[in-house]
Amino acid sequence: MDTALAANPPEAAGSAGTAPQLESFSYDDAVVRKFLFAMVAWALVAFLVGIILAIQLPFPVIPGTDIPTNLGLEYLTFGRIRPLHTNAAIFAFAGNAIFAGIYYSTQRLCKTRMFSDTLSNLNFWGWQLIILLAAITLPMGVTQSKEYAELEWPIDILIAVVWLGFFGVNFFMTLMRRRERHMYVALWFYIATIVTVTVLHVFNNLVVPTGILKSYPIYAGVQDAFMQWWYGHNAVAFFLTTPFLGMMYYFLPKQAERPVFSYRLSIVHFWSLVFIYIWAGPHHLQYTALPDWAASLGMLFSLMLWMPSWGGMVNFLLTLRGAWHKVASDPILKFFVVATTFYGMATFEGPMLSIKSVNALSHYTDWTIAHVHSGALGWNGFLAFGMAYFLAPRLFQAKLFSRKLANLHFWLATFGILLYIIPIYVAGITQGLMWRAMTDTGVLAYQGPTGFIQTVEAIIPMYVLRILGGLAYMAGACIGAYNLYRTWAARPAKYDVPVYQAAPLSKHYDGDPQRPAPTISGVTNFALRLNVWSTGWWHRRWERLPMRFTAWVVIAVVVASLFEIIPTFVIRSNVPTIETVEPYTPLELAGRDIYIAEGCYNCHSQMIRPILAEVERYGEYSKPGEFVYDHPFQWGSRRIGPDLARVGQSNPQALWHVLHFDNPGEHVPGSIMPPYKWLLEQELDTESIPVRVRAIMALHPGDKHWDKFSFNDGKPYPTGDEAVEHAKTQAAKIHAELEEQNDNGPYVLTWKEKVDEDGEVVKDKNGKVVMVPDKVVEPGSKVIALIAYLQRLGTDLNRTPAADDESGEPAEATAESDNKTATTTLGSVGVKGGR
Amino acid sequence: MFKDVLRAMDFTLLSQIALILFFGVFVAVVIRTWMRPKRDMDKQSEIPLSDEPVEPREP
Repeated sequence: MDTALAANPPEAAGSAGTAPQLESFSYDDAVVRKFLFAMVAWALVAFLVGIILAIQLPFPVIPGTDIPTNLGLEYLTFGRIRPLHTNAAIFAFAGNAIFAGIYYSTQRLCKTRMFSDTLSNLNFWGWQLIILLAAITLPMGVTQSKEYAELEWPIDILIAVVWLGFFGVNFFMTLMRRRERHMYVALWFYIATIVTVTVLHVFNNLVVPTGILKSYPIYAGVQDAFMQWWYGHNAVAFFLTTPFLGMMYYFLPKQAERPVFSYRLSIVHFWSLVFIYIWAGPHHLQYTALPDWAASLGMLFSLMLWMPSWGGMVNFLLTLRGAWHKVASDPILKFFVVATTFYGMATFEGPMLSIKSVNALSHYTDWTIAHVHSGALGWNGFLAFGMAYFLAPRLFQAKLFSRKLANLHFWLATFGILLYIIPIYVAGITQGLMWRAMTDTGVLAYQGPTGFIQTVEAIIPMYVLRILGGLAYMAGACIGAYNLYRTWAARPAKYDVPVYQAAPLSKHYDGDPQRPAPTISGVTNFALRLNVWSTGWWHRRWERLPMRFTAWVVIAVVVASLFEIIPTFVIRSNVPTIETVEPYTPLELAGRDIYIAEGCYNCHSQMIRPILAEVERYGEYSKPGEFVYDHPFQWGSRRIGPDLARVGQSNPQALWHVLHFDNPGEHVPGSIMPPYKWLLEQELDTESIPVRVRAIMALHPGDKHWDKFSFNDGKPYPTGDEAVEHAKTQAAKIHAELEEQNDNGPYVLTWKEKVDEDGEVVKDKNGKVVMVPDKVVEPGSKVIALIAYLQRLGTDLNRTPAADDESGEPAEATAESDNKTATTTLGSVGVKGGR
Repeated sequence: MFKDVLRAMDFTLLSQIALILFFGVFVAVVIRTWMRPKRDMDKQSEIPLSDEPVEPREP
């Protein structure tokens, strides 16, 4: 705690009895040092995993061998470690950078020590524990399958506790105890970060647990997608943008030794981001089954974001007015300038990508990947490392080990990021154009599985270049880590802790503008009040009241969210119910959970947009009503492989899928999908089927299919042991199909020598050892459940509807998107049948 | 009853109301910010430059 009274108050304190006593305080830099170490360490981990992923795409097997690049290990497959990479980059690298920056600057902006050293340390160790748990669970396939929100519910609770309980409380209590009356704009950005991330995190992670490591979100399909991208986009806004902007508003003026160009502009920058950013989420779902009005709104607000973002960028660049000569020699300013430039680029590109016609081309391609890396490596990465170079000499109280190495880091990182993003832009646009290319006769230029493979092969050289770019960026980071380590190694035996003195702020503040008198007369009371209010006299007061300020930020964010969320959940025409869409069978549900655990959504979408080329390639476009039982939705955001929304129609053959999972590259030459041999060998966990079924039933109370389920011969939906039996029966049927398609024989995984009754190896008449099947694909293997799910995907739309009970006529089963003929109920989760 | 009210409402209007509301607030913030005295702005923008309290502070 910081408020030990100065033993000898200096005389400057004024005459006794009237002036407040001076307080002595020092800053807690120990915790900043810890976060800085963690930031650098996790940065290297995040980059390393990224490079492993980048290698896996163009090289699914180690060149010249048959060994898969994931070494045949399920824990190292792309689908499982891609979330590890994104989580490490966002929450471990950027997260620790945020904490380091905020803990350092907040204390100095408030002229006080952090409220509690204990909370600071709980924040540090709690956050590292979360990262460690993520690093363990994600490769194990424990995931919610929502991008950047993959961690399962126990870890989510821990995140909420550490973020709000430790970090939030510590931060806000520090604000309360500050000795600087005005809260500098950086602190506003930190406030927005803390409260908004809390709201986003809590509402996107509302789930029904089925065990310690598995849960289903309470939302399904369209609504789940909406909530996820409301979260996903604003995770970028309020985790990767606002805290970094706050840090830039602090560290850039510090290093440039001049105040920010326009403090006014920084205030406008803040409020416009808070008011506009929260709306932009739906632009991630253009042309999907999300209602068009929501997507249009997302686009409009995204375009509006361009202005404040560029206002901020210009503000940063102009802060260097008269100091540009320093940029040439100062590596820290170099990092900041490039970070600002990438901020400008990414915030121009984001709105552009949200424009529907651009998005039609860019979505599901590598263009998005290039965009996020220009943001994460260019903006966040450069700012974080610039900050690290700023902090190191001050925190370690030693001269930076080598300025030359810092410059080398800068140039390697700049070269690396360009070598990374430019080929990936080319790859994304190439693939997007190839997917939609039509011949003169009106058919797809690259159609069918071979056509898709051609679109993959075309971008492989770009994937190789990306590896080199990533390696260069990481080499820079390694040099940076070494430089920081050597600076730390030269630290004094004991850190000097400067003690500052200042009087506390008085409890009552007289400096606020007084409520002015109205300047008009002869009008209603309301008009008088409005006249007074419009002078803005109150703004000055509540911008130094942290709690009231925070409350307004929360209101701005929540109101904006509700404007979008309520209609999405309430308007019935948003999700027209399709009569033939029924819940998944117990086996399909288990198979779906394998699909989720393996992270298939990282490479395959399940969303056919109403675009000619997509309908031609994948079949009838996706309808919102098809996803009402999808907890969570699996629309995906990238098509490294083809869309699977209608794979049950286009490719239902069990043997095809088994051959494909066994060795995709051999079965579909040119495929870059890794083998999934373990799915053929591992046994399905049938014990947990009843609890999974129960959870889904709980999420759809009163659903008519629980009483009458087509896939159970019109009897009630199977539960408990019956569900397990139902699953086994369905598995046996698919297994029989498989063996029939496999020349009426088992699908053999391994062979063994045949031995006779005496234990002798049997040989044929030519003296060759006779081999017999050792391990085969069993009906209880995971792959059978996964195939059950894949066979069902996208087929409900074309099923023959069950006869209507009353009339004997088939129920309406059309599913026009305009909802003219579809049978509708108040079609959404929890609403349907429930109210 | 509540369900009927919800069903009868035209929520698409919300998006337009919201757009106007938020744009209005944004404009108000801009106007208000530019009305602030330069002296205050300059003083506040200098807060990060010193780690020590700079006197005189606002009490």
